[in-house]
Order: sequence, then C-alpha cells, then structure tokens
Amino acid sequence: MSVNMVKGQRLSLEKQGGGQLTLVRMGLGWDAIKKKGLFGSRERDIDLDASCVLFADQQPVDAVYFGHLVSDDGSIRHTGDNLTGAGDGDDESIIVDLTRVPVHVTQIIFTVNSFQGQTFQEVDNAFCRIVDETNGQELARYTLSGGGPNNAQIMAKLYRHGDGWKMSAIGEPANGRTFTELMPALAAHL
Amino acid sequence: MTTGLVRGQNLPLPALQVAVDVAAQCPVEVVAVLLDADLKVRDDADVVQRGGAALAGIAVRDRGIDVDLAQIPEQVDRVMVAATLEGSGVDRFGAVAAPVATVTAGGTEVGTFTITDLGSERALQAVELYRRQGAWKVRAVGQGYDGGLDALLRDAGVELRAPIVDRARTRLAGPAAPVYSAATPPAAGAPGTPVPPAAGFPTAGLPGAAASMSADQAAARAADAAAAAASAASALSDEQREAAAREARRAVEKLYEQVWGIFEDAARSAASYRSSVSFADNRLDQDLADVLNDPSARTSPAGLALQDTARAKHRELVERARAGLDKDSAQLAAEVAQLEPKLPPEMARWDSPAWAGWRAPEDTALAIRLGDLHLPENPQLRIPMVLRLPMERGLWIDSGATGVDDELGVAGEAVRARAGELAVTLAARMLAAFPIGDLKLHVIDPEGKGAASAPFAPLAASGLLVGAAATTAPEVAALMGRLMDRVELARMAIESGATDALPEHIDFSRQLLVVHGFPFGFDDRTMTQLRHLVEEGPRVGVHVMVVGSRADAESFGPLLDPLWRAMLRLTPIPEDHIADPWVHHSWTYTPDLPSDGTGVTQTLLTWVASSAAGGR
Repeated sequence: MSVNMVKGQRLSLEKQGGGQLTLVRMGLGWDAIKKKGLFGSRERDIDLDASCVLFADQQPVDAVYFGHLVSDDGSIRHTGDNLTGAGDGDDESIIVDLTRVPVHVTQIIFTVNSFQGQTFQEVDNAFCRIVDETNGQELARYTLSGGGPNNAQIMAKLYRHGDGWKMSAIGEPANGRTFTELMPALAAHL
Repeated sequence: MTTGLVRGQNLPLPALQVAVDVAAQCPVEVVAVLLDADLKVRDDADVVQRGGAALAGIAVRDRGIDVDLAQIPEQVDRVMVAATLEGSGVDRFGAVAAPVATVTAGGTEVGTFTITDLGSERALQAVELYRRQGAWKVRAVGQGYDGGLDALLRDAGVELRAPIVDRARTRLAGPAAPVYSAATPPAAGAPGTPVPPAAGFPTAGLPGAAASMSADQAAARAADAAAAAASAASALSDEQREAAAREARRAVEKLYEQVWGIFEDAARSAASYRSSVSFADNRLDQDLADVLNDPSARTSPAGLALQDTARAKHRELVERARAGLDKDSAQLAAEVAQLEPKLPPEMARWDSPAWAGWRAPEDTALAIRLGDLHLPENPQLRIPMVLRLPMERGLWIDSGATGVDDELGVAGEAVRARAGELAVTLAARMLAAFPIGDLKLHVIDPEGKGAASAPFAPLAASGLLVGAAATTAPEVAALMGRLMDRVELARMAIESGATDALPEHIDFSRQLLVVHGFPFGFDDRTMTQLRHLVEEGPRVGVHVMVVGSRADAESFGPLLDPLWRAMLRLTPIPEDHIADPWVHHSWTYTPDLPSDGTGVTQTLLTWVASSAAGGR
C-alpha cells in the first residue's frame, strides 16, 4: 500500500507488519523537457536534484547530493546526477542503509530541488517516492507536477525511534535551488 | 561454500533472504508460484511475476527472484521458482545449453543447479523453496513442461492462466508479441515439429554462469587454471592457454577489487566512528560549559548531577559507536584473513606460501603489494596496500622517516639500512611481476663509493642490472643522459604518432631506475633530469624509485619540493602518512620486509635471474 500525499500532509509510517525499516530508497523521477519548434534549444533542461541531510540532534553533520554522492560513513549513496530527466522510472535515487548510519545521526531529511530554478508547475510527470528496498514497497509518493509556484520540496524525514527508524512524510513546498538554501526551512522539521 | 546440485537434491537454507537466478543462453522469464501443502495455489494471486500484482516478500527480477521467506504466509508450504522461454525466439530448452539456477541465501551462494537433459520443454520448475520442520530448504526440481507455462500453472491449480502467460511472453518478446491463448498453443511446441536452430545464441560457454561465480570459486578456478596451464602447457592449444590466462586475470582483478572494497569499507566505518565520537565530545563540552559557566550551579547537587548525566550521555554514545566499529572491524579482518592466502605472490606478503608457487609471468601482473595499512583505532585490521602496475607515480622511500612507533626503537642509521632493504625488496617484487626481460633495472648508488652498498648487494649480485651500478658522478650523468634520451624520444614518437621510426640503438622496453643515497652523486643538471624522469617517465615506461631523505637534500633548496610531491612516499618504519581517497584518514603504512633480512629477496632474485637465463 502506498500513500499518496497531498501538499503539506504529514504521516508517520512504519514498515508493514511492524518490522524495522533497514534499507530505504528515495526515488525522484520526471520527464525531460520536450524541445519544440525552431528555437527549442533555448529551453533550459529541467534538472531536479534529490538530496538528503544528516542531522545529529539539531546539527547538520553530513549531506548526500550530486556533489557528494556517498556519505563519509558510506551508509548513504546517491546513484548520480541526472541533468535532464531522460529515462523512465526513478531518474535519481538515494539509497540509505539504516543499519550503518552512524550512531549519533538521529534524523535524515530528504529534499528535492529544481537546480535551474523552474517551478514544479513547469515540470511534467515529476514525482518523488520513498521505497522500502527490502521488499520494493512504496511507503510514500508525492506528485510534484502541477504543484505550486515553488521550486523545492521537503520530502520526508527518517528518524530514530527506540532501536529502529521511523519515517514521517512531510511534503512541504519550499524555495531554493540547492538543499543548502533550504537549511532554515529544514530546521523547522527537526 | 557452494554445492553443485542434482535433480531432487535438497539443501538447508542458512538465511531467510534468498535469491534464485536462472541463467540460460536465451532470455527467460522467471515466475514464482506459491503452493500449499497439497502443491496447489490458494488462488490465482499466488502467482508472482514482473508486471503482475505484488506480493509481500517476493520480488521478481530479470532472470531471477528475491524472496524474504520471513514474509511468506503460514499457509504457503513452498515457493516454486519457474522459468519460461516462450516469446524469446527460442522454442525449447533443448536448443540451448543447460540452464543454471543459482541459489543465494543471505548474500552467500549455497548451490548451483545445472538443469540438464531438457528437450522440447518450454517452461520448467527450476527449484523450490519449502518448509521442513520449521526451517526452509531448497530443492533442485528441474521438471520441464512441453506445454509451457500454461501447463505448469495448470498443474498448480491456477485457473486464469492466459493473462499470466501473456505477461511473461510480452516481457520476452516485447509488446508486439502475438497474444498467446491457452486454447491455441503454437505449433512450434507440438511434438514432432522440426525445431529450427536457435540462431543468434552462441552455443559455447554460458555467460551467466561465469558472471554469477563467487570470488572463492573464481580464485579456486584461477588457481586450477594456472596449475593446469603450467603442467600441461604443451598439451594446450594457444587458444585454450589464452582463455585460461584471461580467466586467471579476471580472478586476480576480482581479488584486487575486493582488497580495495575492504579498504573503502574500513575507511568509511572509521569515519562513522570518528564523527560519532567527535559529536559526543562536542556535546559533552557544550553540556559541561552550560553547567560550569554558572558558579552557583557548579558545585550544587543539581549541577553535579547534570555533569554526571552529560558524562553518561557521552559515554553511552561513544560505547555504541565503538561497538559498531568493532563489529565492522571484526567482519573486515575476517575478510582480509580469507583473502590473504588467495592473493597471487606479487600481491601477497613475503611470508605468504604463494611465493613458493611463483613462476615467471607471461603478462605483467595486475598489481603489487607495497605493504599494509591500518588505523590507530583498530591495529588488528591490516589492509593490504596493493597498487596497479605499471605504477603512475615514482616511489620515494624516505630514509629520514621518524615513524610513529617509538617502541620500535629504530632510528638514524638503522632506518637508512631498512630503507635500502625496502627498496631492494620492492625492486625484486617488480622484477618478479613483469615478464622476464620486460623490465630493465638500473641502479644509482654513489654511497658505496665504487661498489654497491650493502643492502644493494643482492641486486648487484643477481646479474639483473643493466651494466653496473652507477657509483660516481660521471657515471650518474651518463646513465641519466641515456634514460632522458629514452624518455624524450619515446614521448616525441608517441606525440607525433611515429612509433615505427624509433632508433634501434635505444632500448624501449620498460625501465626501472633505483636511486640509492639520494642526493649524493647528483648535481643541478642530473637533479633536473631526475625530476623530469619522475614526472614524464611513467607514461612512456620509465619508472623511478628514490631512496633518500629530505634533510640530506636541503642544499638543493625548494627546487626539490615538486620532486618529493610527485612521488608516493613510503617509509621503512611504520608511519601514518597515507591518505585514503574517500574520507582522507591518515593510515599508518607498515612496509612488508622479509623477517629473515634479505634471504627471501635474494632467493627471488636468483629465481628471476635463472628464469631469465633459461628463457633466453
């Protein structure tokens, strides 16, 4: 069962059957811009970026994004930057091995940014989802296309709970072309 | 350990995360069928395939399936893994080599099942995972169906079969595939119909089988292949020998990748530990500062309690981080222990039994061992430091190193002596890593004043040197001049694409220059030439190893800084100066020096020399 989220909706999710989340993936997909007409090359490609920031309590300690594809500890891996949205399915993915996240990291926040600054209104078929990689189940899905005039989205938060991890879907629109510009907005969700 | 399964054989599954891969010479589509104790499905939803409805715990991939047995419902007694080739263009399993099912549990391969004796079958039950007294086992089934997937599903009691068969066919043949209906089976599968040859699929070798081979198998096979190649070299055709060599090289490549994989994991695991500890330290400082800054709270019971809490929090976090690090280190150390005995001699320690099997290589070895690396947090985890050949950087063996282990008590002259020894052992390793005669060795050793100094005696005595060691300034100048010509001409020829026009009197095979006691015997001119060799040489096959200390070369001033920087610095005693490429920890480098002094090196050099004498 996947949860389709609406703007600003927050949800707490657990693995079905109450087990622990161990391996999750954030997938981000969108369609390449359709170049049309004589001067189609003037249209800027749409470059959405998936990022995540690791927090120890309130303090950011590491980030995984197109410029730093593997967290220092190796527990979080980005599959690489897709600059145009070409290709089917998830165009960018961030895979988190929760069993290997350093013990002091208590929260991980996932974000989506439009690097060229186009708003989600201009992007076709953009979606962002969180998948439990152990069984391929979609935990949450958010349709970005047709959204508001924002160019960033705070997607979801993974946080420690007891010995395991839980996820809360945030889905809050924001503005910023890279995750660093979102830091003040992220602070509200810690 | 993996087992070759035969029909009907079963094995216990050591873990509940099971993967089954089906490799065949034609595209196949895997389908999982969940069966109850009566070998029937509960309902049609018990068939899992790509493009169909999902079922918790089962993920079907291209030519394979991942099953989490913990999530399989109680009423399901077994999971049948089936495969069909319908729609692939090949119309029966008998037309291609026997498919291979590989079973992996918890990431370790437990068995492979080569499904032989197939004929006109178009679908087959490959293996089944089944419950046995509360545990799960796997059985090799290998039951084929001439009637294809439809017949297989009918046996399992599936009612609505056509959509399932169509989905599988579409996967293999694309959306344009003619829709298959259970009522009209295609004529090609009917008995007695002549079968067209399966064009387009090579019949020799099974690519899937090689790809899914575990590293253990690969190494074992490489060792076998190498042994076989050696014992029966004359009996093998060139083609077979080449194939064996390729196979062996692939296996070594895999070992090399494994070493670097362990290195990366160790670096990242330590990064995780260090960042946790530094976070805990900072938090403790912050918490204590908050209490101590308030003079009245400082000694009050409440204040003291707060300090205790802060320290307890710190201790707890550090302990948890340490536990994680220890767990990772133990795992990685076990992996290294498994790996070490499998390494070929050039990548192994001097005390490895692999050296006993050394023989002159036909191709340049993939990599050589420079020593070991470890971090202060876990000195028991020693990562082999192996670098690819030919090396892109020169080596600088620092005879002025001060090291990290004071208790070792090696200083001054002893360090110099060890530096010379290390240079000789590394030179010997390189000679052993290249085909005989492919690496020409030159030595500059002005320290010995007329004769090679003590550590270099074995090199000089081996007869592997080109000419004698250069020990005086004019000799150094002459040798440097020759090597400069060699580099310059090769570089110009490569740049202008005129490699055929190289003059014949210059030796264009690979050269290794070992400089001992640097900078003695060098002047400004030869020094500049050396810098040039270090920077330009590796690209055209001239390599440099320098033994010397920065302090000795101070009179040359900053001129030499780029020279030191261009080379990889190694120390004759353990020192923490090697940075990993991922998180830039300082790793302690420990050279691998034979315990019996130069005995091993001498033996090896004698072997190399005798191979050279015998071979040419």
